[in-house]
Amino acid sequence: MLRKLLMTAVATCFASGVASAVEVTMYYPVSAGGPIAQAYESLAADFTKANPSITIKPVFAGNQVDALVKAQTAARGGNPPAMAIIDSTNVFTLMEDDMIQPISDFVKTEDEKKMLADIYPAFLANSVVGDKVWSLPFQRSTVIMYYNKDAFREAGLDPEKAPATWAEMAAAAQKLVKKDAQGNTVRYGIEIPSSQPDFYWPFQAMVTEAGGTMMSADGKKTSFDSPEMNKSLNYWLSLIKSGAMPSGITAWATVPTNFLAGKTGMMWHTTGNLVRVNKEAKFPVGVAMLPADVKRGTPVGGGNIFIFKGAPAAEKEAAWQFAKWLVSPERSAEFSAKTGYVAVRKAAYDVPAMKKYVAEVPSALVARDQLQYAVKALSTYDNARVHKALMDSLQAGLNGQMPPDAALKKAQADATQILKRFQ
Amino acid sequence: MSRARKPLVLEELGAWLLGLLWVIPLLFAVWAAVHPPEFAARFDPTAPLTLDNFAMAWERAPFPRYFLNTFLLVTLILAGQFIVCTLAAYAFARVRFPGADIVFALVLIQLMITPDVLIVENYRSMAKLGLLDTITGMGLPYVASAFGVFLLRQAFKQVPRELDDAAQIEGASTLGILWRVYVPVARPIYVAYGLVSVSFHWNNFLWPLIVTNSVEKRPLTVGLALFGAAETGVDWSTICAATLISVAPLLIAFLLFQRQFVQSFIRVGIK
Amino acid sequence: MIGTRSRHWVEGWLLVLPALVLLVAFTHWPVIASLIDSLNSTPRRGAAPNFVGLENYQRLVADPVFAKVMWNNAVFAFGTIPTSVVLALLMAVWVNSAIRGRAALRLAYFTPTILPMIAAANIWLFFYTPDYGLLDQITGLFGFGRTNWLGNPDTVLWCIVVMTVWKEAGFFMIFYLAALQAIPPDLTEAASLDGTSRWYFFRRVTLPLIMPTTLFVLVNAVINSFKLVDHIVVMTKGGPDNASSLILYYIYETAFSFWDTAYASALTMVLLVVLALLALVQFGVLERRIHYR
Repeated sequence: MLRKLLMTAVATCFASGVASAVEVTMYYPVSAGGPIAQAYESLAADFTKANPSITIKPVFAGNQVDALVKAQTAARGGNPPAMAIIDSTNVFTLMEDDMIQPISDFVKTEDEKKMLADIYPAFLANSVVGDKVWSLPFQRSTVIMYYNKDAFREAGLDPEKAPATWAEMAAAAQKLVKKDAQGNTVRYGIEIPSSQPDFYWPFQAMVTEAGGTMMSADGKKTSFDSPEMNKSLNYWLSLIKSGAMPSGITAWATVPTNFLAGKTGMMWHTTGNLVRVNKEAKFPVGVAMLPADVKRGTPVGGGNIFIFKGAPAAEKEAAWQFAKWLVSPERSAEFSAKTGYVAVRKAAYDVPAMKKYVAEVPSALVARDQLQYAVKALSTYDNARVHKALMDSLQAGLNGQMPPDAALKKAQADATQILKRFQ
Repeated sequence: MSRARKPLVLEELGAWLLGLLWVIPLLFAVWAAVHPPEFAARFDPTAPLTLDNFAMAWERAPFPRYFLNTFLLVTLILAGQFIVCTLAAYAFARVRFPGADIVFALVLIQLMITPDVLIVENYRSMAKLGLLDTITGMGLPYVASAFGVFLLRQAFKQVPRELDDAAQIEGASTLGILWRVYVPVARPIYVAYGLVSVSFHWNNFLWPLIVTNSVEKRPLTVGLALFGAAETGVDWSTICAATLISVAPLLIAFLLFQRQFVQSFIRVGIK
Repeated sequence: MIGTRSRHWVEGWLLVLPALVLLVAFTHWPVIASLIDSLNSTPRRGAAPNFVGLENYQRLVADPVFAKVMWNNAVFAFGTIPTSVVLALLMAVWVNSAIRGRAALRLAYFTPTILPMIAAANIWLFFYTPDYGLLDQITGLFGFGRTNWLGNPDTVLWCIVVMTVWKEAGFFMIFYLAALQAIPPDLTEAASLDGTSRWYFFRRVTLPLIMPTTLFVLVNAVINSFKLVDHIVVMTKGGPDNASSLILYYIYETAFSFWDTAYASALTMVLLVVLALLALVQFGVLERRIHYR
C-alpha cells in the first residue's frame, strides 16, 4: 500500500516535473455561470487529468461578439490566446487579419482526417475557405422552435403537432394570443429575437425557408435586396401587425425569459438553450424544426475552435490536442447533453450515453435532424460591419421607420460599400 | 442653522416625492435580489426572503478576484497620483524655472482632454509597451492627473513662504521640505482628492474593458458587465444580486463616511 | 545667485518630469497620433498605412451613422443638462433648508452618484424591461399595456436621458449646496427683515451669486455628456438602428469591433475639437472665477 502510494507520488512528481510547461488559454463565449460555462470548466479539468502535461485555462469572455473582440484585442496586442471558441462567421475577418492558423495545418494522420470527415458537412460549411479548413466546429447550433404545450392546448391547438409552414405558424400564433380585460396582451403567440448582434441569424432562417441566400460563397458579395429577403421581412412584419408578436426590438436574452414565464406561446431560439429551457420550464415544452415556406431551412450557428497563429508553437500543438479531444465522439456527446448544442460528430450519436440521453430527451435530436436543411451562416469579409449594416436596416424596417424594401436596399447599398475594397 | 428657512408644506412634499423617485430604482433592485426569482417583479409582501441569489451570483463569477483587481487598480492609481502630482504641484507652486508656464498649460490640457476619449491611440501604445491585460496598463494613463496637480498647487500656494524659508535655512532638502511642510498642510486636499479619485476609478469601465482580457486582471465593473451579457436568457434576481455585491463596499463606505464624502466632492469641485 | 537659479532650473524640471512624461505619453502624443492616423488609411494585412489626405473626413461627412450619433449626442446633452442642473439646484435649496428629514433626503439624492454607471445601467435595464420592469408595472396600473421602452427608437434615447439625469443630478447638487452655504447669512437676514419675498430674493440675490457654480456645473455636464457611454454598452449597444448611439460609443465600435482605426481616429479628432471648443468656453468664461495663475 505504502509502496503504491510512494510510486504514485513519484510518478506524479515526475510527470508534472517533466512537462508542466504548456498552458493553453482558451476564450469562450457565454458569460459566467450556467450549464455551458460549467461544461467547459469540467471538460478542461478532465482533459488536464488525462493529459497532465497540458493545462487548459478557460476564460469566459462575454457573448459571441465580446469573445471575438477580446481575442482580437489580445492578438493585436501581441499576446493571442492559443485557442478561442468564436462565432464561425468571423473566418474571413480573422483570415484577413492574419490572426489564425488553418486547422488543415494540423491535420496529418489518417485518424485526424477521419475525424474531419465524420463532422456534419453543414457545420463545416463556415470553416472551409479555398482548399483549407480554418476552424474546427464544436459549440454548434441551429435555430429551433420551442413551444408551450399547455398554451397550445388552451388555444385549441394540437400540442403534439407543431406548425410546419409559415401560414400554419402565423395562424397558431394568432390563436395563442391572450388578452386581459383591458385588452392588453398578456401572452403573445410568438417571439423571435430582434436585438443586435445576433438576430440576423433567425432572420436568415426565414430567408433560407423562402428559398433565398444572403451572400456569395467567397464572402465578398451580399444579396440583401433579393425578393426572398423582402418576403421574409414582410412575413416578420405581418406577425407584428397581427399582434401575434410584440412590436419594437426584443432582446436575445429576454426571449427565453419570456417563454419560460409563459408570456409567449412559441419562440425561435438557439438549440443551445435546450437544456436550460427543459430544466426551468414549469410546463411541457415542445421542440420542433422551423416551419417551411417553400422549404425548411435554418442557418447553422455557434462557435468554432480557432487556433491563433501568434501563439507559441508548443501551445498551438497543445491546443490542437485539446481541440481533437473536445471533438471526439464521447466529449462532443457529453457537451451536447449538458447544454443542448448539437454534437458535431455523426459518431457521437452512437455513443451509449448519448443514445440513452436522446431516448429520454427526444427533442435533443430536432436540431441535428434539421441539419439536412441547414445552410452556412451569414459570413463575409469585414463581418462585424456587414452584420451591423444589415441589422441596422432590418431594425429600421421592423420599427416602421423605413418601408421594408427601402430598408433592404439601404442594407445592400451599405454592404456593397463596405465590401468594395475586397472586389 | 438659524438662517435656514422653513420650506412650505408643498415644497416638503415635492422634496420627499423626488427623494422617493431617486431611491425607487435601488429599492427595486434590492427587492429582486432578496426574493426568489418568481417574485423578482411581483410585489407580494408575503414573498419569502432569500439569500440564494447572492449565493448564486457569488458562485457564478470570481468576485473575490474582481474585488482584488479593482482594489489593486485604485491603490496603484492613487499612490501614483499622489507622488507624481505632489512633485509637479510643488514645482508649479514654488520653484521658478524657465518654461514653467508652458508646461503648466500643457498639463491643463488634460483637464479637458482626459484619457477617457483617447482609447484608440492609448490602446495602441499599451500594446507596444506590452502592458495590455495588466493593472499597470489600466492605471497608467490616469496617474499624471492634471486635476490633482491643479488642486495641490492651489493648496501649496497657501503655505506661508516663511515656513519654507525657515526649513531651508535649517538645511532641509527640497523633498524634505515638501514632505515635512507642504504635505501636512495640504492633508485635507489629499483626503478629498483621494476619495474622488477612488470613487472615479472604482467605477471606471470603458478603458478597463478595452485593456483587460483575462479574469486575473478583470476589474469589478467589467466583470459585472459580462455578468449581465447572458446569451441563454436573463435572470434578473441574480443580476441584481451581483450588482449589489459589486457596489456594496463603496456604498457602505459612503454611508459610514457620508459627510466626509460630500465635503470632499465639494472641496475638490469648487477649488 | 546664478547657482541658485540653475539649481531651480534643474530642480523644477526634475520635479515636473514624471508628470510631463506621462502626460506626453498618454495625452499629448495620442492627440497627435490621432491626427496622423486620421490622415492615413487603416493598416491592413500586409499593407502599411498610406497617406490618404482628408479621405477619412470625407467618409465622415457622408456617413449617416456619424450624423446620427452627433445628433443623438446633442439630444442627449440638451436632454440631460438643463433638467439635471435645475433638479440639482432644487435639491440643494431643499437640502439647505430646514426641511424635515434633511439628512435622509441628501442621502437619497446623492447615492446614485456613488454607484458605478455599469451597476446603475443594470438596475435601469431591469427597470425598463417590458412586462417585468417597474416602469411597465406602474403604467400597467393605469391600464397601459406593455411598452418596449428600450426597443423603440422613439423612446430609447429618452430612457437613457432619464437614467443619466438620475445618476448626475445628485452630483451637481453638492456644488450648489456648497455655493448656497457660502452666501453670507446677513444677506438672508436683511432680506427677511425687509419682508422681501422668497422668490424675489432667490431670483435677484441667490441666483446671481451662484452663477459661477452654474457655469462650472454646465461645462462639466457638457463634457460628461461626451465622455459617458458605459450605460450604452450595457443597456442598448447603441441600438435599435443606432438610435441610442453616442459619438464615443461609435468610436469604440469602429475601433474595437470593426478595427477601422483610421476612421476611428478621424472620429476621435471630431470629439477632440468639440472638447477643445468647450475648453475655450470654460477658460474664457470661468477664468474670472478660477485663478489659474
